Amino acid sequence: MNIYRHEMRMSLRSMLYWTTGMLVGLLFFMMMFAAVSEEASVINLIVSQFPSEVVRALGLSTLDLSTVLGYYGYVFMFILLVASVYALKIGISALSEEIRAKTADFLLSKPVSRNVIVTAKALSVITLLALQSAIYSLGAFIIVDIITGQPYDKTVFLLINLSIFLVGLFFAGLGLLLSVSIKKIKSVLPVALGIVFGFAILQMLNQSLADPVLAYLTPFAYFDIARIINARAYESAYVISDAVLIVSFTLLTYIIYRRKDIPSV
Amino acid sequence: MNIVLRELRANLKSLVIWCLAMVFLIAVGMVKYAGIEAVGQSANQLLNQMPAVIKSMLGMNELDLTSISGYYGVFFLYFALLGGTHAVMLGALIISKEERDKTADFLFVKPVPRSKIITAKLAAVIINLAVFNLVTYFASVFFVAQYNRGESINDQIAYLMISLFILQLIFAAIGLGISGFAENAKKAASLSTTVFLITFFLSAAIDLYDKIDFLKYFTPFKYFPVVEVMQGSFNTFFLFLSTAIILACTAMVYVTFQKRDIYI
Repeated sequence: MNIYRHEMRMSLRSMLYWTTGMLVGLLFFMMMFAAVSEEASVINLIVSQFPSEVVRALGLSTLDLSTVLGYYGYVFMFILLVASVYALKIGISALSEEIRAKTADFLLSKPVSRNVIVTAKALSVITLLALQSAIYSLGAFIIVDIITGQPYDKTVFLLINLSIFLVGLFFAGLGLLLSVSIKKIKSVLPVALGIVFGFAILQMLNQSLADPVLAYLTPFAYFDIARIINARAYESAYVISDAVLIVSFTLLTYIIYRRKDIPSV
Repeated sequence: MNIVLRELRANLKSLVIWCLAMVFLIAVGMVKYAGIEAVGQSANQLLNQMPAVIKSMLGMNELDLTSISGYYGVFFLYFALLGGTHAVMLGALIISKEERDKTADFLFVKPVPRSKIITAKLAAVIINLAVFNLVTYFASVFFVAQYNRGESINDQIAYLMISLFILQLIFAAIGLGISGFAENAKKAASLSTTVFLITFFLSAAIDLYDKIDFLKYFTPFKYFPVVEVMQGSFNTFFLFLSTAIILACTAMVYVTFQKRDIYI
């Protein structure tokens, strides 16, 4: 419990910075909603005349930018990118920060098992991600409501925002696993940025090929906003795949960390 | 010279990973081109009717996506994104990592003035960026040739690589400049990331809404529009602005490091 509290105290502020950044970005993009949505209604007319293969091959967004949710969904993809970098960052740092800060021997010589340490740190990561999603969703709700002033489907809005948490857990789990399997990580952010952008590029490719197998490779495809808007629900196959991956990342982290050789100062 | 070699060796692994990622990206991107080419004519028809806002959102203003040069031009945005990330992180960490790794005292007690150390590290940065750029160039030429059935577009690729290199230099300089006054390596990295992401999202916002076009001076992603560059023309004003940013940021790191209290 002490470890958990310490972790939270250490990282709460940076979480608030990241979330504020996301909200400021959203505010900036939402201010252009009125202008963009007008032009967007013309586009819908044109796109509807063409076969869907063509539209997809061009990577044209299947989102209707003239509606609140369609436009929000488009902006959300950028915000999800930032949230994912944050999730991967805290996932990687949680366990490896002790080695970098040379505090690992201090922590590991305490009378707690390594499993307890991993549990405390993983819990703090989950709490941070949950708090982030909650604060972001609330802020996004206020911003979108005030700026657009139009009615929109609140359930879908919530589902879209909740995907921050579900994708975040994936990246945090991946981060935990990476941090215990790589021998030494000198700086976290470059690694986190590289990996998230890598997955984002896979997602772009996936959008134009629309290969259901390829979609399993990138968490960004799990919660496709256009499909969430249409179905008003997640697709269970992808949610299951997300959950399975998160659980296996975490389990592997426990197994590897128990036997990991930690360098002392 | 020793410092340059030492830096090159230290960054070799990450450089190799970045280059492999670029080669992979280009290879994968060209597979995507095959898909677009297949729907060819009707895709072009659709695009011609699109309002400007959507075209610029997809980064394909005035670019013919079904021609290989147009497609490659659209793809350039992602090179800029990855090249910029690599450069800004390299710049932010190359000097500040000495303090982080507790090797600063070792390096700075050597009989070399600080300015020389910075110059050596700068040289290492430029070599790293150049390698990244050349690998991207050769991978592009190779993979484009696999799918190209028309005229060679090697010249256009070369022009784009020049603009990519300028972009890399700008971001590396920004990273260096930030590391000069940031307290430690961690803060340097996170501040540089913030600046980098802001400029990237700003350019996305300008694409979305052209009334805020005047903000383009603040984002290097907008300095060299792909269409112009592919015709071989570089805007003189922005070339000047780029040079100014690069020089100012580099000068800043020389000044701040001269007086810096090195944390050991």
